[in-house]
Amino acid sequence: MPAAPSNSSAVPASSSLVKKIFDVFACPGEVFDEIVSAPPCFANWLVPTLLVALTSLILLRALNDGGISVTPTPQAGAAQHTSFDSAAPQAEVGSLDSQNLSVVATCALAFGGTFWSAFLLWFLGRAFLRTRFSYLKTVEVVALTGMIVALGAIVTALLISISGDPATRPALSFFARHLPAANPVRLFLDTLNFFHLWTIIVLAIGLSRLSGVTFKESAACVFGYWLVARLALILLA
Amino acid sequence: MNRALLYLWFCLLKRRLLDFIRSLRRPATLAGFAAVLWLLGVLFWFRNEEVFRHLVEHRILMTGALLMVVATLIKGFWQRGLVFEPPDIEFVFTSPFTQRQIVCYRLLPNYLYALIQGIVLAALLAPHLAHPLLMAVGLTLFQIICFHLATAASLFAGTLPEDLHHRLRCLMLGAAFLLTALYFRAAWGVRFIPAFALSPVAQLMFYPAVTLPEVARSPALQQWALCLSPTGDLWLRQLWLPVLYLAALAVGAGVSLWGLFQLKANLFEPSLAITSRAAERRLRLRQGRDLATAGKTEAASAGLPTLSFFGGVGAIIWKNLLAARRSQHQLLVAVLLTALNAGGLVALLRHIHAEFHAAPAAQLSSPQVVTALLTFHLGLAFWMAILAPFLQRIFPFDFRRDGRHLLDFRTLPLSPLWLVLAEVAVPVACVLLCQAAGLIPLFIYARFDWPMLLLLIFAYPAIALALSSVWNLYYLLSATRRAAGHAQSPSAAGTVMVVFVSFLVFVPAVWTARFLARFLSERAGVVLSADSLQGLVNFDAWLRFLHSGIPLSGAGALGVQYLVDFLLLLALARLFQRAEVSHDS
Repeated sequence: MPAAPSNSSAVPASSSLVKKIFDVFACPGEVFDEIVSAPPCFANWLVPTLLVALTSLILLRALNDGGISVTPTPQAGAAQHTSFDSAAPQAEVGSLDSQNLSVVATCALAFGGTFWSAFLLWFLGRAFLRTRFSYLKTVEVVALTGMIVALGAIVTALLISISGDPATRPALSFFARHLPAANPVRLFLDTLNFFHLWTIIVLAIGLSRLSGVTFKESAACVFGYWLVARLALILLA
Repeated sequence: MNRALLYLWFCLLKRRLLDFIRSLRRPATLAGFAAVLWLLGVLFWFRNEEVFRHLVEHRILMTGALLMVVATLIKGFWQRGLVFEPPDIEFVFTSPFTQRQIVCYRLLPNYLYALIQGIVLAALLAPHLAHPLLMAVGLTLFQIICFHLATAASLFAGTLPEDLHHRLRCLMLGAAFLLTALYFRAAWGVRFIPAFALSPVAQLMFYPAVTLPEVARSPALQQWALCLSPTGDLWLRQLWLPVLYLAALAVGAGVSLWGLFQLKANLFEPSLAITSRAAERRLRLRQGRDLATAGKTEAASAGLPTLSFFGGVGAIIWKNLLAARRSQHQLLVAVLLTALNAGGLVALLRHIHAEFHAAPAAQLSSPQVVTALLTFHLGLAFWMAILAPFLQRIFPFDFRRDGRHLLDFRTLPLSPLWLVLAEVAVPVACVLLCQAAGLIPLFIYARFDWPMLLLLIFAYPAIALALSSVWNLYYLLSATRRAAGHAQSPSAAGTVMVVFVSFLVFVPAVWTARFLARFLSERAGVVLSADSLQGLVNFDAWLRFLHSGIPLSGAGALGVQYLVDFLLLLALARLFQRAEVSHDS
């Protein structure tokens, strides 16, 4: 099993975290090269993940102001109806209400999601690309990729504010807003979110830099899971 | 196609066919071949059934074709290169043949297979096809296309570097699964993915390509989070008690590990001894020897027998009897099993007969009661007969233990048939002895007629002998393989096959009994049907049939069964005689 190549021959100059955060939008490859060559750094994943959580809270606020819950499927809608009915009294007597729970869940999911997707990326590299690389560096790569998610959250919040429709997304579904939320075509188009696709491309670049394989090979794995498998779920369910 | 290669393939095919026909002399191969033929025969017999009509429906044919193409491509791509016989590498590869000719030569067996498969399938599906011949040709050509695809995929995969091949393999597998699943979803409406896969919580699996607040606001997540939110004492009990229990158990695990590490006992010597014993047990198991005696290496000497019966081949019986006497574990298990069965049987007999004695005499002599009583007693006799397979497995005093002395036995001046009889005698006798514990009370209570009693008395040895012979065939085959140096553990498939054959040996007798019973019942004026016991219109005829027809049918079946037993013993003797030949080979 070949190890990921070390870029000791051409080590990029170490840049600040703020520069990395901004550079990941424009030249992610260089940022990831620097991540790969440098020792693991705690701030490299903590700060971007906190930013993702913060921007997701802004989006949550925009969604709550819309007052309409997002229900992608009829089953989910039904489940939401029954669960809110049964949970409403508990929420009243409890110390945390539904909105506070959403806030806590958003922050927790930002961290949990980062570690989960880092694990997936690490596993894809290990099992399919047969390369070994550090899990902590993968976490850093995923966390920095999350900056695109943060930008996406801000853009989505702005779109919701402008359109007044909480179901609006920067995706192809924007042009099919007349379709109901549970419609498979709407779900399919929703998946083709501009920021999600951008995130996936950056993840593929990250995997190629971490594993030392070509972009085509890493893109096959990353797109296969994050896009094709997701679309397949919609078509098959 | 080169004519020389065609001739080579034909010669090799002929040789393989002859080798296969010769290999049918081995019982295991013959049984396997017979099983395939039997299966094909059964399918052919039922070819007019409705299920076969469904098989030629357009949807099913399309699904089958798609699956075949996908599987073919994957299999071919997996292989990387074509598989040849080692002599082909030395002869064909070094001879002046073009690559195209060699590929054709490699495909020739596949073409033959496609042709046979097409003919067999068309023959099975012919009643439901408008043009069976066209279908046979079509199936053959489709199979040939699949072979071409597989070969092309193999050759293409062989040109790829290993890492790239591995990656493409994974992608191909995923794509094939996706394509197949999509086809089944579109054509058959089959859902491989449950609906909750579309829920916002499930979308979290695709982070960071998700909108986080959607997941955070999902009802399922909120409900789960609310369960964890503090709402009073109930919440404390729900959360803290499990945490407390888990913590206590974790502390217990830690303390016990600490205690284990504090032990100053010697690790190595006892481990060495137990490892040796375990290794010996594994070896005995691989050699087919008994595990129960693994720890015993010494036994008290027994005096030589004084009876002349135990001279000659009788010495084998005496040896096995001695082994049985020393095998307390097996005897104890057999006694327990017999006691459980016989005890239950006697209790049932006592209970039923006590109820019958309490009933009025007129009711006891009614046709229904007489017939029911006889059927009940015959059922109990059948119950005791079922005990034979289990008891036979408990008594290993036959080729199971003597398999490793096979070559020594070959040097004895004994007839193979007598030796085989002597080998199976002790287990059969032990089985009959155990069955007698239940049968004697049954005979006393049931008060069968003499013909029926004699029939039952002679039936049990026939059953025990048949079972013992079948299993000994298997033990002898295994022992022969071990003697030839192919030591291996008994396989599950082999055991299942022997169980199947041990039922199969009773088929001729059952068929004879059924035939005779039908014939005799017609002569007696009784109609045998599923509800015949309920419709006892002609009771006298029924009674005549029960007292004479059933014993006669049974006697015929018994004769056939003894004949089968004799043939099995002959096969066993023949196999024993050929043991040395197997060793040489």
